[in-house]
Amino acid sequence: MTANSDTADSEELEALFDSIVAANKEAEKLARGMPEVQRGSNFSKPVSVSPELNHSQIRSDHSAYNISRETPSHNPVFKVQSADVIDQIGHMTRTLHDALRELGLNKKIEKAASSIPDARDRLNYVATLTHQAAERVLNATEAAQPLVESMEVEAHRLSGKWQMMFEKQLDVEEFKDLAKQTRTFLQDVPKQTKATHGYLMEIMMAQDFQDLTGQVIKKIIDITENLEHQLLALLLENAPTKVKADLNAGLLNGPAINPGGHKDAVSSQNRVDDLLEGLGF
Amino acid sequence: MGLEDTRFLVVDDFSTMRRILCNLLKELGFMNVHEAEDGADALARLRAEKFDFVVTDWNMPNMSGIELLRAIRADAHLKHLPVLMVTAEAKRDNVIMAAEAGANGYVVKPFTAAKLDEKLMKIFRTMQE
Repeated sequence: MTANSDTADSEELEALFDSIVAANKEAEKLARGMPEVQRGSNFSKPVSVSPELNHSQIRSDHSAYNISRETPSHNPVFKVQSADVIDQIGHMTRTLHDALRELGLNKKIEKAASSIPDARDRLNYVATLTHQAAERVLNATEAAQPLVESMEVEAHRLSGKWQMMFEKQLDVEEFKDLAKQTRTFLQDVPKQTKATHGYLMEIMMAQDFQDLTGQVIKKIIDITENLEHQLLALLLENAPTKVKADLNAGLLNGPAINPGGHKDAVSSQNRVDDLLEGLGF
Repeated sequence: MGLEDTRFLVVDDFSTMRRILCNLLKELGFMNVHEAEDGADALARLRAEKFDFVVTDWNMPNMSGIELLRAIRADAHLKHLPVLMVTAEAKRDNVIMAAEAGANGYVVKPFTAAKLDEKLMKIFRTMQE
């Protein structure tokens, strides 16, 4: 997220937005009279997705070479030769199948492995944002507390004095003093509440992490589910034939695991458990 | 009609962000603020009731913000409605796409109250021109 070279500073992006809107306005002025201006679409490239994976290092132990050694080229009888050809085709098919499977497995392993750094970056981002939000909230709370406390203390003090005044315990000078102090306090309260209000807004704005981290966490859930899927597929492909047949007959029928729905996630969790158990894990 | 009477529709799938935006708009003096939880919900409300301003997120289920924006611009009754995008999408391509689709403003999350105010006022000024 933070490492994306396509992600620019937000000020810069907003400036870019303004410049496009301004340019479009100019174009509209030029094309005045036409109700709908067909704007140039050369800007609207599709959003680039993750970089292409490198599949160049695919191992192939099952090369086609070992077929030739089993080919009896000296056989003079045509019928036998034709049986040999079929045999050879069989071997080639097996080799091709193994090679393709290996290719598929390697791709899956690579894909699964490549999603881990991405998930790690995203989790780091979540950790940073939640940390910042917690700091902001604590700072604002700590700044607001003395303001509220001082108002409370002063209100108590003045109220005590007024009580004395009503009990006729104050002389004229003391009363004048009290009136002055009360006036100062009343003038001061809106300033203090305004500042407190500012801190409350700060606490509210600090909650904006929930939206950002929520999106990131959703993506991480997708990644982990994908990872689980691919690992299971790997296990399944390498399972003994009998286990595989049992699993295919029972567990794997039905809809694919749905990453979104909660109900399905529970049943898919059971299926995953069954699958792992069937494979002896 | 004074600016403070502007009827807002805030569209975001995260309730926290909707509350933040609604509180901020009220803080800025706009008391007539309503909410929708995705593009489809918003479009249905826009077609049923009268709104003066749309503030929308980009990434939402059912109908995204950019789809909502395109639907608004394609609708004869809604096409002049000002739309401010408030989104975490900070890619150049997204910004360009939004501008091309006819957004009136673009705010990148996370944002400040001052930033939101500035963008809103800019849109209001442009509308009065």
